[in-house]
Amino acid sequence: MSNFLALAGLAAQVGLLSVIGLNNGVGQVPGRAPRPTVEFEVETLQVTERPGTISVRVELSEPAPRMLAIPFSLGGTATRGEDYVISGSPVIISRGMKSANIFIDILQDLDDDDDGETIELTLNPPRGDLAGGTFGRILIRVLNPKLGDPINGLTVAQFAAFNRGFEVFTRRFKPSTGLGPFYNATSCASCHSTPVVGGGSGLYRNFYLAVYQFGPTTASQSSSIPPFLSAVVPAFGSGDEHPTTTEFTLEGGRPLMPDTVFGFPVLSAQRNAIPVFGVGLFENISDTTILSNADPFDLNGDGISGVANTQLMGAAVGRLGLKAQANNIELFTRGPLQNQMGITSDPFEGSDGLVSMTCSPLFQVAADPNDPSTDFDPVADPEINTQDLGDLIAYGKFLAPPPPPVFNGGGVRGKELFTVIGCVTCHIPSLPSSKGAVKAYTDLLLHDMGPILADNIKLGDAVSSTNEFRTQPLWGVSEFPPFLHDGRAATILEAVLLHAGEAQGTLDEFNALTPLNQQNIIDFLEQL
Amino acid sequence: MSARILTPVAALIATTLLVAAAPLGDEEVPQAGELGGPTMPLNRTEMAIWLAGLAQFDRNFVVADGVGAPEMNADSCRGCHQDPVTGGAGGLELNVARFGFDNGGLGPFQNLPGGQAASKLRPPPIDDREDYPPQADVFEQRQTPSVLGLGLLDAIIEADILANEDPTDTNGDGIAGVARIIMINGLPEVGKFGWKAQAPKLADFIRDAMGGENGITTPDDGRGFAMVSDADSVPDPEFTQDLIDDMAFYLGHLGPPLRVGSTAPDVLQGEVLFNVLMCDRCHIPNINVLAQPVYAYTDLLLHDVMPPDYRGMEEPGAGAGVFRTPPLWGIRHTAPYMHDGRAEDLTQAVMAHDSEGLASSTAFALLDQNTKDALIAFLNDL
Repeated sequence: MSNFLALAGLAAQVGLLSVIGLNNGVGQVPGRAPRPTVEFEVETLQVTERPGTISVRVELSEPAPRMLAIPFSLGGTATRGEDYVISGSPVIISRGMKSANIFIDILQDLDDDDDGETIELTLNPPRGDLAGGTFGRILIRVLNPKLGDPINGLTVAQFAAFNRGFEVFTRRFKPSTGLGPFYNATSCASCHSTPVVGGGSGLYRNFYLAVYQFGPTTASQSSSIPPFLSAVVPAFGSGDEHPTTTEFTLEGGRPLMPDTVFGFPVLSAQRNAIPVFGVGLFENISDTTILSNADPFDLNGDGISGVANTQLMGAAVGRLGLKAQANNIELFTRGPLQNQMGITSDPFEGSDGLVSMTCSPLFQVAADPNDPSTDFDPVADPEINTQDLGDLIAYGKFLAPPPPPVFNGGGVRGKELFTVIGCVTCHIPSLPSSKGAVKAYTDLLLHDMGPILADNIKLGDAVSSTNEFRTQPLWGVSEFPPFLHDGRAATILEAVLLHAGEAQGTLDEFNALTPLNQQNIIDFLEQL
Repeated sequence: MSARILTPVAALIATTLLVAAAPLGDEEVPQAGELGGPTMPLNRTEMAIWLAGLAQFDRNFVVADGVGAPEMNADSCRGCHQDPVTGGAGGLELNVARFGFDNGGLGPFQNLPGGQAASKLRPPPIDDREDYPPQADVFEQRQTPSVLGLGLLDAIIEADILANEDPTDTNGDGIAGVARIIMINGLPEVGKFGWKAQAPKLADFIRDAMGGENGITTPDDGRGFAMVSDADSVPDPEFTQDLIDDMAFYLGHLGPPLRVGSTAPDVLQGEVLFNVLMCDRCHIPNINVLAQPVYAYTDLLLHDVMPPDYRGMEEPGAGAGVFRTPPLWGIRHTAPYMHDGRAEDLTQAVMAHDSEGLASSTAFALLDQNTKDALIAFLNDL
């Protein structure tokens, strides 16, 4: 947390400096014609060493009288060409414009330098122009990436929102601030805690989903159970069967998990908390990209039939959650707020992206994703205000993926074998997005994992979602034990060996490998 | 092995053995004097055992380790005792649940099949959890208490606890503290640990929690607190005596929270009020640990502090509204308060005292806001 506080401090500093930097008075000499200033939007910038492009903005105090070519020089401890790539000096500001961007590609080196590196850019006067003006400098600190970083390239305002969102994510709700009447957790970080805030959790944070079947055999037509009103079964709250009469009390019993509802059997399953690092990047992947990997009827005959979880014939393609049952961060924030903590919210941007709507109208958020959520405790709805909800969404959107991997030893060979035996058919190493490659090792599609893992719970429109699971992203996987949807696998090897169904062919190939080659694959997964 | 049975006081005396206090290569582990650190600087051998015990306290038990009976509330000790440091308290969502039957409040209280505990979880892939029997009509949640400093309480001799008893309120102050007497193999011992002082020794408390909360079987020491067998397929005991010894050493040497030590006027005024309001009659500021005063702010006695109509769990010798005076050291770190976490802050906690605590809470309610704030400032200094 101290890192975030430090970052928050930096953000405040950066914000202040940017205000000063925009002041046209800087560099003026009294009694003479105003001298122009050419400065960076901010004087310091903090990024992490993750492959990708960042930009720094050069600002002119007045529109350029003609096209200006402003040279800059490079300094700092980072090595150009090795640690970063930058287009050469000068930076061009077109006639009539007041700003231009310099783009820097951050490269990943193999050094594990604890202090990180610096890139320093100093603007210089162009020949014959702007003489006597003020020319700015920027110091970019390139820190080593770690779990919990924001993504690179955030604006000052976005960075501030991210930091505020972290505070909301770790805020503990109380009955007087809206907790309940049913709950499993008191903060987002209750469950997304390990090894750092935003991660997963041990078995002790597991919770139950429960649905009942409408028909005797059609598990595809399941719905949520009263009094829970969502498939999430709360561990705490009144034992009353009718939420409208619920008076929040710590003296009430735990809600019972009935065996039948309206005579129909109740199906239940456990869930283990999943990490949220990098989930915001899934929003940037197009529906088309996800659907392009789908093969619901296994037309290519490889035994693997990925299917997207969609709403209304593909109007929204799910990608978040173990059943890919939601397609954007707002829903995936408002849903758990309500279902895990009993914290009601109003729509922030609003969205029709809730893919689980049709089968279970109350499943994630109230009646409709565009509607406010409500509950029956005495605290007025919404129990989280718009500012806090927006910040929380910003935290989810801007939380960076786990640090990019560096493969060595057996991991190098393991990476090849991972492809050779076909793991990459579902655990696709990289998906394109509107903001660059998302190297999450998933296709975001649903797959049948065999009868042992099947949970019979349907979330979303995909009929197959009753028994199938979304391919879990593998970035940073070794940081987030236990594994699989309910945490039943204590080790990565156990998780691999529990793959069946569509993965049976690949598992057979894994089992046919020599012990050393199997270990290489495990090494690779541990290095991801 | 001898280091494992060092009492905290013996270790205090043994501080001449002290070498570097730095834990072995892990800067994350708090040092002596820090919250969550050892009671005193430990020598290298002691520190190795302390860290081994910490590792067990922090260990995530998995199915192959026998976690669950199959019922369980957590997969580790740290799973509940985590806030704000390992060994601390837990949030409302880490409460455990109990149930019983008291005939709609008319009584008498009866334990139903399955005992009082209703566990929250079973290990995956079991897709079901323990439900209350349908006859259950009274429920009670229990907060996770901090375990910081328990080694010092373990070292208090029984006579020093019994000396504060006043079961018939002979001094007429409306407060009638009584020790919880637990029969161990036919002999009476004073209970010290747990919301109802149900465990006399720290090792009993460890065995009880390992079984009841984690579903981990432990070797039978003949004292009745170990869950010696369970219904999972892992051979019993699932935890060895050596590991219990390590954990007992860790908890025995886990330091109490230190006072802030402010001398601000409101804190000093609050300390006077604490005595004037008779809070100190039960939350006795210091109790002797082998002739040395330890400031835990408890008498370790049972008191009725709930309303007369309170419905809750009953145990032999501890009625529904009767709880052991919890220590107040470090109370600023452990919200929410009271046995079930009903009090969100310290003001609510003071006001939640009824029956034997009613005179104090009533007097508190009559104070002006500044004076109330002074008492809270004092509590926040502890």
